[in-house]
Amino acid sequence: MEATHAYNIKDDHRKLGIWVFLASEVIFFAAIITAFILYRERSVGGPDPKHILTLLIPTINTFVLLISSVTMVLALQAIKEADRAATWRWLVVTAALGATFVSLKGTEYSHLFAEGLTPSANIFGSVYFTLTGFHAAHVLIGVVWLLAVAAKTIRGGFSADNYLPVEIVGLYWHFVDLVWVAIFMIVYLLEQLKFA
Amino acid sequence: MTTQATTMPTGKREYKGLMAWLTTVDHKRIGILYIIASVFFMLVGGIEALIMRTQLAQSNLKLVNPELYNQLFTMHGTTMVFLVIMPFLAGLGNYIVPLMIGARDMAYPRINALGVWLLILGGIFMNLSFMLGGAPDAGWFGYAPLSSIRTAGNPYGMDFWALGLQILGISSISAAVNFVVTILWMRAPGMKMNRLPLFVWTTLVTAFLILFAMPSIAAALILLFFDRNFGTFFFNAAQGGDPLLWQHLFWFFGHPEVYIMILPAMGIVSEILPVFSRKPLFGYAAIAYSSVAIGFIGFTVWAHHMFAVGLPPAINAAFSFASMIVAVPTAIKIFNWIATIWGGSVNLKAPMYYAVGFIALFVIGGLTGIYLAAVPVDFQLTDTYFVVGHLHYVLFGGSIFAIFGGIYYWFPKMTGKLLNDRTGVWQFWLQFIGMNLTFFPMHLLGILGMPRRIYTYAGDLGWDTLNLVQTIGAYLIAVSVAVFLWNVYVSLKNGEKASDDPWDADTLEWATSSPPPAHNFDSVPPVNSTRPLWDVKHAGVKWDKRAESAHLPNPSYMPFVLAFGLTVVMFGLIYNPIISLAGLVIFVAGFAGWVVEPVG
Amino acid sequence: MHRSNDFKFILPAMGALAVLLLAGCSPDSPTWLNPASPNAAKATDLFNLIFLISVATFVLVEGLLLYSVIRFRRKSTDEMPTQIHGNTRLEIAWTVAPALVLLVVFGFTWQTLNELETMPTGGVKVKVVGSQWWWHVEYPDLGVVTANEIHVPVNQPVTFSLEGKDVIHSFWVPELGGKRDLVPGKVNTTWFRPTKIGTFRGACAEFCGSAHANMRFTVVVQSQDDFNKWVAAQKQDAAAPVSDLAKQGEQEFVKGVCVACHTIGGTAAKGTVGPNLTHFAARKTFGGGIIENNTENLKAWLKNPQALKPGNIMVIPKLTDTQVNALVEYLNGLK
Repeated sequence: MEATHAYNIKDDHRKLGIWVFLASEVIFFAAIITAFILYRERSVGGPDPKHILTLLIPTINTFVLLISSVTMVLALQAIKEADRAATWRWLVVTAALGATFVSLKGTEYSHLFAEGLTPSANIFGSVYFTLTGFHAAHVLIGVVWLLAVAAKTIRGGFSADNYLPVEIVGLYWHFVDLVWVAIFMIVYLLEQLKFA
Repeated sequence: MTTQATTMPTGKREYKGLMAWLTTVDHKRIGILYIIASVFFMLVGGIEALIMRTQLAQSNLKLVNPELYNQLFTMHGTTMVFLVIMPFLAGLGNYIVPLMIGARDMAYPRINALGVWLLILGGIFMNLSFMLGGAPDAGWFGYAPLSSIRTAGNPYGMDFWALGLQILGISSISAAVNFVVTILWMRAPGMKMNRLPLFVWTTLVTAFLILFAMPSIAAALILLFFDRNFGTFFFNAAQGGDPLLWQHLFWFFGHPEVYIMILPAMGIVSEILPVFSRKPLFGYAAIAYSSVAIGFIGFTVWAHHMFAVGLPPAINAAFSFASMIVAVPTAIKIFNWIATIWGGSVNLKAPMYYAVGFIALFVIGGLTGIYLAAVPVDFQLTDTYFVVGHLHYVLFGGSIFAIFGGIYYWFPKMTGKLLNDRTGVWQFWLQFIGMNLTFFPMHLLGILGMPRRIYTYAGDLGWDTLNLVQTIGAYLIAVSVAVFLWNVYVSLKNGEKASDDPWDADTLEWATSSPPPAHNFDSVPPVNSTRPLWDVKHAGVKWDKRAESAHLPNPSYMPFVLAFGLTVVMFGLIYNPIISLAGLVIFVAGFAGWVVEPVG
Repeated sequence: MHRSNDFKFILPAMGALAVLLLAGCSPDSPTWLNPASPNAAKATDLFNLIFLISVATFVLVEGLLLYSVIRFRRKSTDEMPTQIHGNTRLEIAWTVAPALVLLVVFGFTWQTLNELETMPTGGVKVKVVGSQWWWHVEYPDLGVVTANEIHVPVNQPVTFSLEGKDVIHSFWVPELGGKRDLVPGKVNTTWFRPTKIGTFRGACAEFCGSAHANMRFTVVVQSQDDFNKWVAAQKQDAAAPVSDLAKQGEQEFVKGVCVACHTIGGTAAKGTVGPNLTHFAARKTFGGGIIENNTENLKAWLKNPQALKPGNIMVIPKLTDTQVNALVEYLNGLK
């Protein structure tokens, strides 16, 4: 009897679902990034978009997420080798890194609020917080998801032949990481390169 | 039927009665839930239409005030698009597509259930607004800044709209993911892509349209909600925003949306015509490729809804060109359909009436589209009743007629009883005549200068007679819907029992009982062409009916919990963040439970 | 059983429909089937071309459909028609033919569009600002400000610059030209050259809120002489009130809430939320082109603006009959 999914579809094929969903997410982020690019220099009043953002926290966050993608790969590797304990550890580390990202983002936000940049301060604030906020929300959902998969791992839910949910959360996580890289470049680096 | 298949135990969980429906992950039950919800919302949307039509029957009537009228037309459009046509097609697709491809269920049964609960809860959420201070009132395409400015008289209507549509968007995307993976990877052996039934082809293309179009409106709705609630400036011109961004984002979704509503309908017609003409579908490949072409081209025409906003003429011309080109694959389909009937042995039963009616009415709708694609003519016709006439010909004469055809066709498969054919034909004629009476004069009214979305009009404009005719037609449509409901009731009670294959049809869903067992098939016939069952009956293909074993997925609470949690979050976003927090807790619990529970 | 007697429904139904439709075609309506400018006429020409093509297509396709369903009705239960799967030549034919027809339509579309979008030189320039739910009308070169009623000279191009103040509106005078939206943050332009003298009805054609149905306007096309006279009169400040009652009315106006929203040239009233009333009595309608401008209607309006135009912004305290009569007397003098 084939794995647990006897609706006659192989695990490999079941992965298509997450790919297709991520394609949809690409369009979603593309729409918001488009709004960002359109509006970034159209502010009337409020803090100056060219100088309000700082690079330290976003740079740390980039490293945090990149490392978390590595730990995610290690988690997947571990379950393929049937090492449930290692899988669980790496999944939790990945989630912890994700949580670090979100809390550092929170710190960055509070600094920006103190400097007067809010969603309603000017249109740059509107697009900045919307774009980065929704990305952070996606990271948060990923953290919950990782922890749930970790819980199932430690309860013996997976094996060397049956680990599709670990792979799926991994794909989601890498996607969220990639979106961050795009945001980091477009929102932070581009500003610095243009206006340094 | 020969020996019953052995159904493996479904694990520890087995529910009865209402619980069984709440936890179902069976595509057939989910399909029925979609359809029942659609019928319910069709009545809601229909009543909204009747009130409007009554108000417009004569000039200067005071049946409803403008505020209520604006809520009515907004909700009528929103309901019919998102809560009737889309879920009807999703429901029929859900029930029939796995059967048509010889599969046991959809690829992701729980995500399937999530879709239907999000639809039901999302629809209830949006409609509760009527009782909670006012329903959405800025039109079904919610142009900013009218929609992004909160009005004192109806502070939350458009928030219900923005958040409700998000719920429904997630529902659609869930369904779309399922359809893509199921259709690509769960076909019976021998069912190559060029042997797929057309209904499955169109469902596949539609699923891709949903995946690439819905995110655009999701983003737009977020921007809208933020402008309304968090003081952002996305559509605030004075602060650097641009009302046209809303239109671009909305219509980038909105145009593919109309193909989402028509393609599966065309698929239904493509199923009915061959069976009731006793001939294969003429030009199968052409129709399949045309469907794909419509999908692609459909993404390039969105600004034809925006010809009058002041875009550069070259841009208008480009969109005009694309909008005319998209008519070509549709024309190909229409000619192929007629050629299917031509030379056949035409069995005029209710499904066939509807399929033929679809073609007749869709041709009219398609032709009026050409006027709208011709920019200078559109400058006169846009935002008038001409457009209202056009859209109802393609969506009512098109999608709804096809849906009724599909219901008459597949009702016996889903319930084991045939709908009374005589009554069905009566329904058809009432609907056909009513529809033409209601929507044809609208083209004339548009030409005579009547704009859309006006709650009343003066008596010296020469619009009274046509409006009265339209109102009479609308009541006729209402009668036809009553006839339909009566037919369903009577047929379920005392209808003629349906065999496995009451229509002498061609495709796999008719190779099992009516209704099918939980595991769909005891055995699947071999697939050597687009008409596997026909081949068994008329081309000497042998079908070894030895039963195969089946294993079914576990039922689950989690989809409902997740959907409920999300809906509560949305309530909280309007009223109180603490409610959202509670909703989030429920959502996370459902999400975690989903990941952790055994799948079976 | 259902034989061809189903189809005996069709002809009488179509006949009834035709009668009803023709009954609806009325000369009262503002329709561009009676174009009063070359721009409107060009759109009508293109419409007529498409009409011919679409009627021909309709007859052909519906005819084929109807014929196929009737001619090939099943005659016996085990009738088995020839199982044809397709025909490549036909496929090509009915791909190429519609494509060619549409290309022709597009060609004419492109040509007409270019003609319409080529801005004229000279003529009158009008600035229109759309607010909920009335039209501010200004002639920047001529120093005229009015509302809801646009005067233009015949046979000269008039170019409109269009701005939306609050939400999106749309400027549409069917007999003179196609619509153009008024989008906040954007200045759109449109133009036409009226060739007939007369009064043409316009309407807002983009849903803009509660009173959208009542946001209309008129375009009065006059001889050059009459237009010049109109401009000269409009440039003047408001006529001073003559009778005692009218003077009383002016007092009521200036002391009351009216000045918060309305301007009357040469007085203390300088509000810009609502229409300019300097030459109110010279206009044939008020309320956004929806109410005939006479004493009875004006009294009704001042007593309860909401009753005549539900949802509109003019929300005023209740006025006594004396106040109303005085105000009406005053406003009637503002020619």
